[in-house]
Amino acid sequence: MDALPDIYQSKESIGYKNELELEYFQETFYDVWENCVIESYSSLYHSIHKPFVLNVIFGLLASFGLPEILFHWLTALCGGYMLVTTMQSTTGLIVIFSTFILAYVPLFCMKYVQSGIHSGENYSNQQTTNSCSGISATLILYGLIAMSVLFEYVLLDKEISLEIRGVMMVFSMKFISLVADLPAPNLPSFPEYFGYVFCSGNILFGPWISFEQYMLQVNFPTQKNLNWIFGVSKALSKSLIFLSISNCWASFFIGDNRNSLLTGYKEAISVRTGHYFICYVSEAFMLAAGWKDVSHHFEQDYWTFSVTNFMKIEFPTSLAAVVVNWNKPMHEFLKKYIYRKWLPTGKFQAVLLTFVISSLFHGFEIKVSTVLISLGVFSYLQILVREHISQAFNICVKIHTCKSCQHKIKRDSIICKLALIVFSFFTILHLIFLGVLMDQSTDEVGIYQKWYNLYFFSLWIMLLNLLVVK
Amino acid sequence: MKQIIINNFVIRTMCFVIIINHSGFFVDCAEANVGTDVTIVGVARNKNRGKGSMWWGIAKAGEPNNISPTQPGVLFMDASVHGTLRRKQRRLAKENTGLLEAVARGANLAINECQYQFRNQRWNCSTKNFSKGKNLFGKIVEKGCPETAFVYAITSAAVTHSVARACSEGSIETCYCEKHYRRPQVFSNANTGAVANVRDFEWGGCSDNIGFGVDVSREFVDTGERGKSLREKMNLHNNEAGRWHVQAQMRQECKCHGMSGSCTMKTCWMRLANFRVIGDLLKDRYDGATRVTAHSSAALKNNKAHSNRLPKNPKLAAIMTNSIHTKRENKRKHKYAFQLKTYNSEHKPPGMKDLVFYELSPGFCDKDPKLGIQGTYGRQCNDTSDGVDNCAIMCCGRGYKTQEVVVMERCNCIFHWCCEVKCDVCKIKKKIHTCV
Repeated sequence: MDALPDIYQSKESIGYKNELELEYFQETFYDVWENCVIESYSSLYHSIHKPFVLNVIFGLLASFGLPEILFHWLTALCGGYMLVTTMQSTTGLIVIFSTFILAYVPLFCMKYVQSGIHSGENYSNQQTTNSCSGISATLILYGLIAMSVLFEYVLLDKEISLEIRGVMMVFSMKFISLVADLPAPNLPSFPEYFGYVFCSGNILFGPWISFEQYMLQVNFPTQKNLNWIFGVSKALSKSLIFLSISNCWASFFIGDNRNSLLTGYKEAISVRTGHYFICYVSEAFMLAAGWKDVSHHFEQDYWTFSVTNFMKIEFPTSLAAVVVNWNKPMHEFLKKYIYRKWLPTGKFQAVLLTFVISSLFHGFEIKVSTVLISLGVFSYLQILVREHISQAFNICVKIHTCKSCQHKIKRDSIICKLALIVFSFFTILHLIFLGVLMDQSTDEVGIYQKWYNLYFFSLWIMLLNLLVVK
Repeated sequence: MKQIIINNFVIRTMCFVIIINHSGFFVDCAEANVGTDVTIVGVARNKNRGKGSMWWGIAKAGEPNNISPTQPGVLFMDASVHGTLRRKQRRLAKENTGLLEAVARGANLAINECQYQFRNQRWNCSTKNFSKGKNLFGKIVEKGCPETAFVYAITSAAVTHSVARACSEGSIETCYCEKHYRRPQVFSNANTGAVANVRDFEWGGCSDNIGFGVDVSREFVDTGERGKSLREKMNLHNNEAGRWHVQAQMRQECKCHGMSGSCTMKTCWMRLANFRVIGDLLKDRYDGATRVTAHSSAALKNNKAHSNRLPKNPKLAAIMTNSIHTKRENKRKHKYAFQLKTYNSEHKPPGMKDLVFYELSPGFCDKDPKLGIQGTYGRQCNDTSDGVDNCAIMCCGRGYKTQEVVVMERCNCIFHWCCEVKCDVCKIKKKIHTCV
């Protein structure tokens, strides 16, 4: 009788297990592949297949040598259509379209007034024109900054402003460079302007390109060949790999951990790979539409558009290298139009102001701004410290290899290499420290709380650096 | 039957002897315990028993693997499938191309999982190749025992699971942005912030696939269970429990992408459990299933005292406290707003996750053509196990024969970096025990 336990009678008492135990389970590699990677790809496919195909078609058409006016209108129409299919909020769309189109009004006025001065009174000298466009560029800069901050905090919902922020930033950069680069009489006509700001290759995800680079493709369209297909597919596959790391593999391989540093690394790497993903998507778009690195525009077989260099960020030599390689076109923009302008006031001020303005462009969103400004200060301090050490120990550990190294301990000596590895390690720590703030999955956790869990280690390192410098 | 009831105590003590002696009328200990339930069975007896489970037949009708995706109408046209479906199910299949394939895949998933979970039990979830679906698992589904509860729960869970997956794969197109099916999720405990954000406004794809899966499963699987009998309430409850577990194991997570942390684009993915996990959970619930009994109106009133189990589902709780349900909208929800009374009034009333039954299981030891039970003849068993697959239990004391066979097996496996496993093939002598 005992051999046959009356299981059905005893069920009630043993039936309720600890529910917390049941909620968690270990995902297998295959689970992650099926539920996360494949799902992410299919939702990515839903959002980007139309823009991508449009860009490919446009790129093929452009290689036949479209008439200039048709080129502008076609790329602008493609760009506009992409916006309509990608943006979810109607308000956001209205804001984008009205800003893009209305922004031509001041441009038109400048063009008209300046050309009036030019031809009518024959009063011009290069100086006045330049200073005029300089002043207007500054005015426009402030105007755009005010607008992005207003959008972020006053005019729009958080979701909508988050959605349009990227598009508006690309636009702002294009517009500022447009006004700053060209003397007023040469400002673009409406189709040129329209094609430039709605350019199908970079309207959604960037990267910023200058008006000259845009016109280069108009005047000398690139010929598509097998290498073009190869280049586009390479960028796309890189983006797919980084998307899967960002969404799935980072948390699968590192997992929930008690070690706050490891968890921080997981969150930070997810943020960084998410960024590479967007960079490579934007590269694929630009290549598909026909644009490539401006210095190689006339090389038939060269098909790369460098937006980011992930190797130099994952294995950084210094924070400055990270800043440069994070988004190369954007860095170039900031350096050319913001940093250089403020350089006369002093190097530190210029760096700080560049990062402040960059964060203002991000709508002065609190976490992004904290990251950006800290990044500016940290990288500047790191440069100082390394110069200091390099002088004090007569060792070649500056951020850039010195051209004609006069130091006693050369770059390829073991001591120097060890020192560089230590600096790389600190840079990785800084990247974790700053990267955790950008992670969306734990967005509700405050800055203080996150940094507290990481023992504020970056701040301590920086304090140490400061002491070294002083 | 009556004889058994009268002799209940006698048989309880004697059952071993009876079985061993292979006496003409077969019964085992578990069956003998049923005595007190006979009245309830009589109340719940209903000619429509199990009528909601006809659709199970599509698991076997036309192997779904052979259906080419380019011809989505093929399965629908299959006459044998058509016959087993109710009008509402046919309408659903017509409206949602690809749904039937997903349901068929779900049914097969359920069968495989059921057979895996019960591989070591006396009842091993064997299926028959009948095209009439309700006989798929044999007549056991016409009873009201824990095995029936499990079969219902696992099939409705599998349909939910496979429909949701089909949505995310894009083989059912209607799940995208179908406002009709969208609704706030029943439970929202322990959701991450990311999920909460998604629900506020729709992003590309607007894929609330799991919500769609649950809704389709409700419409499709529950369509036959319209009566007021305990039998139908039990089925509804177990179907809901199955879906609850799928939903609890599946969460959508999304991430923003764009220049410098903006949100130009979102990609979403599922944290969906392997169906094995859901099978394991349901098996746990089967082991702890709650025995219920027909409730009177007094039972409903009593429920207020037990309502501490309900707050997990605010919607249900709201409907329960709201006595008037005139709106048509509420009617459908009202279908699920019932509370079953436990057989032993001291036990907790069953929650949403629990499986319920009202009849004790038959013994499953011997062949019972009436119930379509194969018995445990010829089943393999384990002579050293402590569990239900122990030979003494599995063979119901009939004894077992032991054979020695030589098996080729992979052995001496070494993991080579990276990433393959190399093994030798060894001849192993194995003892196999089978019940006589």
